[in-house]
Amino acid sequence: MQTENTKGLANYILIFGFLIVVTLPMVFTLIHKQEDISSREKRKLAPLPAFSFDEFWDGAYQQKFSQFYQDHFGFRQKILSGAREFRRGAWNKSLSRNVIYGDDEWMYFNIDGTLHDYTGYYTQNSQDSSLWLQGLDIKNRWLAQLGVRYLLVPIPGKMNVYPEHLPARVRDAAGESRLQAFRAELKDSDLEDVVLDLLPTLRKVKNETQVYFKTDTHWNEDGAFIVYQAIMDKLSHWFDDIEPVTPNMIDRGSRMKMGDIAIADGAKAGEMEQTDTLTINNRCANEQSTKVAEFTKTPAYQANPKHLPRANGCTSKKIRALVVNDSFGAYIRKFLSDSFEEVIFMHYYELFDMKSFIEEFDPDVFIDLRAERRFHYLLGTDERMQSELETGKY
Amino acid sequence: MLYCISVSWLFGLLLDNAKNQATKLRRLWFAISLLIAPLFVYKYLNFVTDNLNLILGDNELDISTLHLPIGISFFTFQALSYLVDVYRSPGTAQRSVLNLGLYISLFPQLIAGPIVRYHEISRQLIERVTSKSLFASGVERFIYGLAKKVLIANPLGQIADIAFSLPADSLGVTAAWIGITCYALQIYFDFSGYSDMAIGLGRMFGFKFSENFNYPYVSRSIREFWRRWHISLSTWFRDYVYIPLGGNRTAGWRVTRNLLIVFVLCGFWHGASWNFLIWGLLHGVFLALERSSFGRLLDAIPAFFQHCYVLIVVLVGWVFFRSTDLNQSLDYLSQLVQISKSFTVSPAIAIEMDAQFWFAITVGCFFSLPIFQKTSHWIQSNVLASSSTNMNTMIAIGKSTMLLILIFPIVFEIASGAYNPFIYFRF
Repeated sequence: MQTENTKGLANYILIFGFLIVVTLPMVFTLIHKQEDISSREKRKLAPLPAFSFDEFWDGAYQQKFSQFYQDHFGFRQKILSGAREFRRGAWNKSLSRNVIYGDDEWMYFNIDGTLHDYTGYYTQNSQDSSLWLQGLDIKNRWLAQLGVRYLLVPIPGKMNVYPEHLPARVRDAAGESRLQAFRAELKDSDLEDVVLDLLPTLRKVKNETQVYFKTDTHWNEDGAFIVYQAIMDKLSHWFDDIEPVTPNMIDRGSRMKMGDIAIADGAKAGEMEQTDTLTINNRCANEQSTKVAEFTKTPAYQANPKHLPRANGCTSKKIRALVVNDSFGAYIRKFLSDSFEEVIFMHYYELFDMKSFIEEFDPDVFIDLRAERRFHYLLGTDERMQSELETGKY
Repeated sequence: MLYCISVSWLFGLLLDNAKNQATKLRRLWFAISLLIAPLFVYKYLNFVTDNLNLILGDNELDISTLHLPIGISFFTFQALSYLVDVYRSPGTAQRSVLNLGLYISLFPQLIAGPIVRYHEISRQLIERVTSKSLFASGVERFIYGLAKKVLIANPLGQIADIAFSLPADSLGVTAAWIGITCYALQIYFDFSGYSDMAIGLGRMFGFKFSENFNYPYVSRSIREFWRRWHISLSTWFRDYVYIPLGGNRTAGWRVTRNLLIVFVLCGFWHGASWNFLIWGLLHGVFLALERSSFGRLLDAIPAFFQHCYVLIVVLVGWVFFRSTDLNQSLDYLSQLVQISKSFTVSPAIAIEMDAQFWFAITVGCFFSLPIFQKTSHWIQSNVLASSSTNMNTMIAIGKSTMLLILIFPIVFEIASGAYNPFIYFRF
């Protein structure tokens, strides 16, 4: 009798515990006010779909409802926080499939096939790097016809700069990345001078100065300044009037930052990284760059109106530069602004579509800052440029 | 499903009211064809027209893609089981369309089995016992099933998916074996996990469903494998196809024929593709071989080699089962025997072999063997039987608590699928 009672107690614990786990999130979903945006995931959450028989019969309603429930089930934020802690503790694995935990709190982002590239998947599977030189050559000659020097600056990915913090299983799987294949092709070619290879520089200085954030995809301000110096050094071989920002013109401070990888990982507000800030003493350029309204007339802007180029510069300087950059441009722009008479920063556009704008702006140099995971996109051959070069009609 | 229920109910009554055996048989065949027709249209018509187009060399037969009703193979087989059971046992037809509807649409096992047979469950449809201890035992079984699916099958499935999506040249021998081993464990823990959940849910509502898996990977012959793997399907085919064909009580070649027919049908039951047919045929051929002198040779070799034989046949079979087409199957099989190549694990697989993978494969291997089951039985009969009531109380409460704790990692893993950060927010 007593055994039955004690077994009964164990049964009650199991039954009630199970029913609570199964029903509580559902009940909470019904009574809780739905959020529209997830600050943790940086996206709009799926709304409750309106019922329609048409959508019900073709399955679209069920799909939308499933998305809604995934985004709004009861205690979602708390469960996701628990899931993050569990996965981190049990598997050293992030909640996000795109985030890779390294050692010593280093994090890596696996987007746009970064990991595949790191392991050499693309170079092994018919990615013809020899064609890249052809594309680069055409671009270089086309810009030269416009009187512009071309400088390609592929930005090494964090995995290539700091492979030592990657998990061993990833580090051991390293292969020839697209950038490495490109560097091999470039070696001893006529185009070597057009490309600034940052990898040796960054790897050399990283033991003295941390050049990339631990919890962000990008270089930190120190990294940006080192890259800036490398660019200026390169340009000083091409132009006599280069006057770069020097280390003694820099003031150091510090701040806390939550990196983009930490955000994608679902990090809490307190999980921030301390980083140095670099400020230029007595800046000659403006604090804020100004929008370049003239660019709205170009086909390049019509095709991609999201980002309007921005201009800055120092009237005391001589060289004019056009800089194409992605999110890596964030910390380097202030140094570049202080180094040119006028500099325009812009996001990626079809170069050929910018022809009239380039002619009007008349830069001395075109600097193409491109993240490693995307640099191969710009090495395709533009047939319109090729045709102009072949026919001699510009 | 409503059609299936209506046809089964109506023809069940007609079978019971048939005046003679010939009428009864005619009605049975007519009802079977009515039940098979939707299964054929939804599941096999595309396959048939695709192959006819291939043979005829044109694309004149164009059937727009039909959405496969969920669980159609399972509920059609349950309906067939009902009609054959009524045919065999007069007076057993279900008068209540609701009770028959409950049998065919029984939600716990509707999607992934086990296939419930009418004669096993007919009494439970009317009178079944529900109790606190049965409900708790159902919860326990459900949690085990969900844990198998979420904590073991899903992570291993990710590795198997990568292995089967890589170009053959990028795979290599080691990754190919890792991939197929992961798939073998994935399909076992996925399927048996669903069966456990169905059995558990059934128990909560007072139904007792038969077991569907019994450690199939410890088998020493393919014959034994099929007594342990998807038991409800193999016994369904045995009772409703193999035995009516004559079973093994006929001349030797007829037994072989019957086995091949049953396993070709079994292959097709899983899906409409040549790969499933070959998978079924492979098992049928080895079952037939085991009835010949090869079987006697097999009985004579040490148990270790018998296990190896079964695992190799089953793994090769899974290659056909998992691949999307014959070319992929052959490419994958060629990688499994590519011993001249490097034994380095393909990078695409190596980078995924994290702590979760090692946990899943270790626990998966452990629980695919009956070690835990035997140990807990031993503890039950040798330790707990003679323990004090207090000790038993503590253990029972401890077990319930552990099961509830096990729900947390399961929930976390399920919830992680809902986490979907927008990765380009910076840009």
